[in-house]
Amino acid sequence: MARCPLSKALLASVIVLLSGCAAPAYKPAVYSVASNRPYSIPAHRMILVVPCFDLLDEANRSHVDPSFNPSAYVTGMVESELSAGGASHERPAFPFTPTFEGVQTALRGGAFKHPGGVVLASAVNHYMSDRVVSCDFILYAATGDLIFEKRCLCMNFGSSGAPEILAQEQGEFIAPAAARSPSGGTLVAAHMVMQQLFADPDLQRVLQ
Amino acid sequence: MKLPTKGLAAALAACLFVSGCQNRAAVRPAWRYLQRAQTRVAILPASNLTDKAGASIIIDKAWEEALLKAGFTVVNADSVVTFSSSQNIPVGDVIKIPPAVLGQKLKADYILEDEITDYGAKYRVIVGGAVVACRSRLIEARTGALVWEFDWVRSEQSNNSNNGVAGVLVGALVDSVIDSMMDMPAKLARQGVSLSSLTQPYPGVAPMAYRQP
Repeated sequence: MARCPLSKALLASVIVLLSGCAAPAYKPAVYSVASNRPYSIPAHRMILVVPCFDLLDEANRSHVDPSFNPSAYVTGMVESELSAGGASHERPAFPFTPTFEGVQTALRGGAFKHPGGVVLASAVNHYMSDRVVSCDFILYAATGDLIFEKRCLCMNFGSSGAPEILAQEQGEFIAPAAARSPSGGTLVAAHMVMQQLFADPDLQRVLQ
Repeated sequence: MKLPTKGLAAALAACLFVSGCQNRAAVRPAWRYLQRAQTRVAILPASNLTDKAGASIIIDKAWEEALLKAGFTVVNADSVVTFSSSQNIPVGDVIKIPPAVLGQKLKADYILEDEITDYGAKYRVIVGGAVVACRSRLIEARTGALVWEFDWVRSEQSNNSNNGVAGVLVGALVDSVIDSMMDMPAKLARQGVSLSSLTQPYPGVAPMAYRQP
């Protein structure tokens, strides 16, 4: 039986439309520092903030709004926290390959000569929703020596967040409990990632 | 009969030495960030909001087994109870201790909190079943930040409705729930992030407390 080519096109359009409806593009609210953050940031050192590296995979990227730039957003998060803490910070003015190794190589070549200055590089691995964020942070001395590193991640699978992840866990019989957000706010994961970084005693110590 | 204590002690020491070597030599997959070497999780006794007295014990034990199986070092709920007794703190108030302090006292990197909201047999019109509902949270001790949270409920129909069914559910359920804690870092790391630097400490740098013996 001959099939109508129009029906195929119609079916494809419906699938595209449905997939678009099923997975709305994600874009976070403008980042603001938590009002009750339980840490302060030592403001004794000049901190060079390297723009965050974007390591999102395609699956993650397909969930986010094209206008949302996760690396710029995370860089902004870090700079907002530093500004709120009164710490001096600026962007690097020297060229480097946009990887952790590239930054370190540039520093070892004497690119940053600020006495006592440190360089904070980061990568965003995952930014799927307000509740699922993962970033890596490495702090270098001006000489390129690594002085602190940490993966900061928050997976807040409450009940309303990250439905695409929950779907894998639900199966036939596991379901999220009633909706509630005890941690409050919508930027829960971003705030928790910042807290994991800036409240870390090791980072606090090296920034003294 | 005189026990060969010296021999037993030597054998025990040998076993500990070998097991210690095995632990150090064992290389966990680099993408399991939360399961990096020597990660210690303290299980706070579950807060039980139901009228089923044994629920918290079952949940705590299920978590202990699941975490041990996943490669963590565990400070179990019994140890936390012992700690609270030694400090003259009601066990229910342990959760009020600042995470950084609690982490230091218990020598734990992470603190697992559970709140049981439903547990036990349910009777419906046609068939009965069991239900378990809980909120689980993993807190990074040194910063007090939330790392992972999962609110979950599981129900299963059964003609043999009693609390024992709920107990059976818990074991399987915790295994499932812990996957949500484990698999995400796995997925994250498969994106090409080099985690070797996060599992191999740099000379003179120990980013995580208690990470290395």
